[in-house]
Amino acid sequence: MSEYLVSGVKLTKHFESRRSPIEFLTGRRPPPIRAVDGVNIEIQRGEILALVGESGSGKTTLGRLLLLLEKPTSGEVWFDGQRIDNVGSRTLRAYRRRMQMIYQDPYGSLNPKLRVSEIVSEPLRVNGIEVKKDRLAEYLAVSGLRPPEKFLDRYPHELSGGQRQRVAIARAMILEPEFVVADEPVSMLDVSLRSEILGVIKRFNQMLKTSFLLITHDLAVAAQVSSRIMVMYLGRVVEEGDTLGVLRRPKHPYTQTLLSVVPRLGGSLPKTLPKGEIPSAKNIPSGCRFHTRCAYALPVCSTDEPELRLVDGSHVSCHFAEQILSGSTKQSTS
Amino acid sequence: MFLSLLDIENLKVYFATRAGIVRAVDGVDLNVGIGEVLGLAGESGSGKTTLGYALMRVLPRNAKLDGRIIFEGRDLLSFSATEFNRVRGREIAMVFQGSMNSLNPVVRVEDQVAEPLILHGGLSEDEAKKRARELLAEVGVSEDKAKSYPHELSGGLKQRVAIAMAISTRPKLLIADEPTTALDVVTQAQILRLISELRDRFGLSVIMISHDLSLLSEVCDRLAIMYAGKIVEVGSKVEVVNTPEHPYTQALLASIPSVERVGVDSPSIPGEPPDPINPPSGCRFMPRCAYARSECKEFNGYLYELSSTHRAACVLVGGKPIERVPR
Repeated sequence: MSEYLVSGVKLTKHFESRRSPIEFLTGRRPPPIRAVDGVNIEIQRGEILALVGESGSGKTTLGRLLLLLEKPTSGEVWFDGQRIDNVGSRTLRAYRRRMQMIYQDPYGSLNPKLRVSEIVSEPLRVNGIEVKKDRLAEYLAVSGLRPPEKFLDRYPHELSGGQRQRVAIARAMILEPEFVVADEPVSMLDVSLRSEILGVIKRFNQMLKTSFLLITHDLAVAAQVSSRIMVMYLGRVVEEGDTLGVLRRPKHPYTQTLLSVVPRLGGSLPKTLPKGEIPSAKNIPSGCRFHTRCAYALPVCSTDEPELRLVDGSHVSCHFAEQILSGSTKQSTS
Repeated sequence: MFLSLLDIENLKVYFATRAGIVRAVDGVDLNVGIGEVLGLAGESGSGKTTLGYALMRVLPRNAKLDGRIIFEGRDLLSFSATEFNRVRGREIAMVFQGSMNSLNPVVRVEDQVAEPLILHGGLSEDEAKKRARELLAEVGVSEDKAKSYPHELSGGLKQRVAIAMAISTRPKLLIADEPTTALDVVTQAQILRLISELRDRFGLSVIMISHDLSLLSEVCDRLAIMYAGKIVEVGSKVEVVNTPEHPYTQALLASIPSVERVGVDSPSIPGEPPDPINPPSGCRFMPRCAYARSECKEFNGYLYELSSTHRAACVLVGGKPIERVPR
């Protein structure tokens, strides 16, 4: 048996984009949107892995691929020692209840017509499991809705954003899943609430030994609860390592950029911001995908795509990771 | 040295609802200097957005306004609706929360920016379009992007368009309500940089509203902390961040997740914000405060002076110093 609960091997997801009128007339096919482009990922039992990147980096698609909410274009998904991307829907259903998802928007993810007790017990009912009030109350309490009796009969509109997200977490956890993808679970909440909601995720992680893939664009969120961080850029992993190593000694220029723009109390805006925005996944730059925005880019970066390799305890895909780390390469000032 | 552009005195915004009177803003004193960026921080429901709406006078009919809003020496609350139309959007402009999602989906963005210039600025169509392109260039939207429809633009570019529209009349005061929520960290930094540049270039005064104190602390000169309709602390960025005096400010600062604190939960603020219809008497933070004591029930919300710029509304600050022992 493998030590990994979930893994993706060379996972790729290309979405077809709609043809423009010109492409329609000429019969040309538009380039696909390469959302995830050959990613290897392993999640250990009971760990919280943070998947970090900007919007458009493919992190949500990767999460959905691992849950098979999205069928991979190529590559494999393994769960608990079984390959599950090629099994029939009936077999897959047995795996479904062992994995869950927590969404970003607590205003859109709860059925407004159901009471909290119905929302949280629905997964049990769907799976033919007896609904016990004690169990609902326990899960609400662990989620921080105390006393739980006060919340069981409420409707979502009577709850604050933070309370809604707690309900969404309780619903995701009530089946005691082994694997949960939490997609930006705190980014719509007040900053002062974030730490507490992340604490709820950590509590369930410890209580049920659930593995989490925590998708976030905010490294401060990853810092609090994750044991490992994986940084994605345009469908590829650019850096991966334990949380402390990635945050204290970021090796990839993109990771360094993400770290430099995290707001710090009493800090100031970074002097150098990356140029422009993340390119379209329809039109991925040649060579290193980050070279168009990288302050260290050299000619080789636009021709050769770097492979992930081990540098100082982390896996990094940058030709010059060692030089950047030792400071022997300078940022271009342009 | 501090030339005031805006002085808010004892501002109250009450809403009459079926459930009772909602005291969204309840006696706020605040000023904004010329060319200053003031950060207004607080949790959801603290009244910070309502305060912005009151300055723009875009409030629903059930709102009651009281107090004084002195803008360049004129009391805006004494203005009639017609008189105020000359101030709103021209001298005081606002980038509303989510305004980047309120762009007209079937109009090219340069035409959208040009529209108010034709309607209110009296420019011809050609002049307005030329001006719109200049404005968009000022906020970093290139000429080819200016011809796009909103759905073709990223969130960051749409927010730039919204900012271009707000500054198209060269207002003296810009109110930016959560200008970077829903944006990525990189884009967020770029938008904050843009707002500081606009201030530097045009001497614009800015009120930046956000729940994210660390973000505000990076771009603002001064910070005001709002809780349950009242300002509880105001001071220079350094004073508020490094020597916060109000227990709420201290709790708010401590609750922020930080990349420096790996594997550590930030302490949360216990309890919930009070009901705005029946706020607790005395200090409104008292039910959640670790330092609460009997005097707090009688507290009138007075902002005690700690320095020429730093003020905090807490009984522990004013009068005789009291030894601080957490409850």
